[in-house]
Amino acid sequence: MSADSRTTARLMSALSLDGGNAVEGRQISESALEFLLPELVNTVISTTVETKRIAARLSLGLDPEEEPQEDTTDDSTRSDSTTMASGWTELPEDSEVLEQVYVKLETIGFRVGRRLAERYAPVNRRLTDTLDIVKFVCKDMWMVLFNRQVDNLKTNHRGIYVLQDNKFKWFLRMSSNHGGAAAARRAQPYTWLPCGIIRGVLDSFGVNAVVSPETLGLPQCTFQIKVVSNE
Amino acid sequence: MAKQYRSIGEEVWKNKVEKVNAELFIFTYGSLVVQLIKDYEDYHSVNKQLDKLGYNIGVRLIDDILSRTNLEKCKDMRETAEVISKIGFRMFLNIAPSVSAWSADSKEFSLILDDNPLNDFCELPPRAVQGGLWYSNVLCGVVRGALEMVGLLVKVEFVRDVVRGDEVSEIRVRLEKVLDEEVPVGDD
Repeated sequence: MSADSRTTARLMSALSLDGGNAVEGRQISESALEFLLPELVNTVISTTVETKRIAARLSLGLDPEEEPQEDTTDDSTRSDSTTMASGWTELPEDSEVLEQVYVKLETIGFRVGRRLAERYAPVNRRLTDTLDIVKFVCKDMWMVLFNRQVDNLKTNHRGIYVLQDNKFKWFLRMSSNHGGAAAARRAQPYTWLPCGIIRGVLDSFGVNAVVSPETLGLPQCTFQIKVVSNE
Repeated sequence: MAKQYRSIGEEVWKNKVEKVNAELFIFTYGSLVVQLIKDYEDYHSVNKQLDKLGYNIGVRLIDDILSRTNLEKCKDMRETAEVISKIGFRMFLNIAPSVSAWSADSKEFSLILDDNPLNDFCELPPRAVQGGLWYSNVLCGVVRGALEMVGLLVKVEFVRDVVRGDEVSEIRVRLEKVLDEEVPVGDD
């Protein structure tokens, strides 16, 4: 047994937060969320592309309302996102647009995380220790988000935590279609949202962190939390 | 008729639907609306985007409904309205808006949402109310998109919403055109 997996075993067995705090809330169909997510990503992409096109036309003194076909500016700004039959979107090639899409999705997630933390924070004890807060994410929050807990939690005990989900729910439907790099690329936006959610949850407990995703092969996904400064 | 659809809808909800806590959905939608408001700074554009998003959901969601039920083609708008409410809304959001206020020509009706999950936790700032935001406008798009796929071109819009201070939430649906090859007879 490696040192790493020993740490993991210990951490996971220590995952015994209050749990019973789960609120019996309203229920909806899971497919409602499954329909919403890809369209949310599509909307963020297409509105970002559109905003950039309008800004570009304004800067050239052109009428922003004219049809994009007559657009004489940079071609890449016109790469409207295309929804595929499956509902997943091709990401824009333009790296500036892609960066903005990332920021927006992460921000959308951040707000969700803040609100979820407000709803589900343990009532009978206050979480102050960063490890306890991360465990709260791994267990309670993951249950609310994905109806399961993370499979693996590692830490270097110096502010870095790695959460591993071997069957990341939002990937499950993607992996069957096309494998490889194309799928991994398309899957990216679906990790930006939970990155924001995790950061939002941490933030509401006063932990300032950077959260980044890594996908080695669908449907596996890891999230690295790097604490920036605490307290 | 309404009863039959009610029981189909409830049966589907009970036995054929994977259920999850609604809050992730509700908060995610709310956060998207906030983002669109930041992007556009104009509530009518936000309404438009939400409707468009809903439309794209609707055109795909109809298959989900049809594949989980053995529905026959509706013979008129009154049946269609019941299916939207008792099966469509029930299947996804576990609500069944009441159908009312039919026009004389039976082409136009209202869906009254006594209980709209999207409105949970939602408080609109006065600015958004004055600016004309229809917070749940996505629902209009969904209905429009789904009906278009079965050959019914409709106009769908919110006319009242409790989060705007109205007494009830009301979506108005009007049949504009029936696409010939898709649906046998309209409603006359």
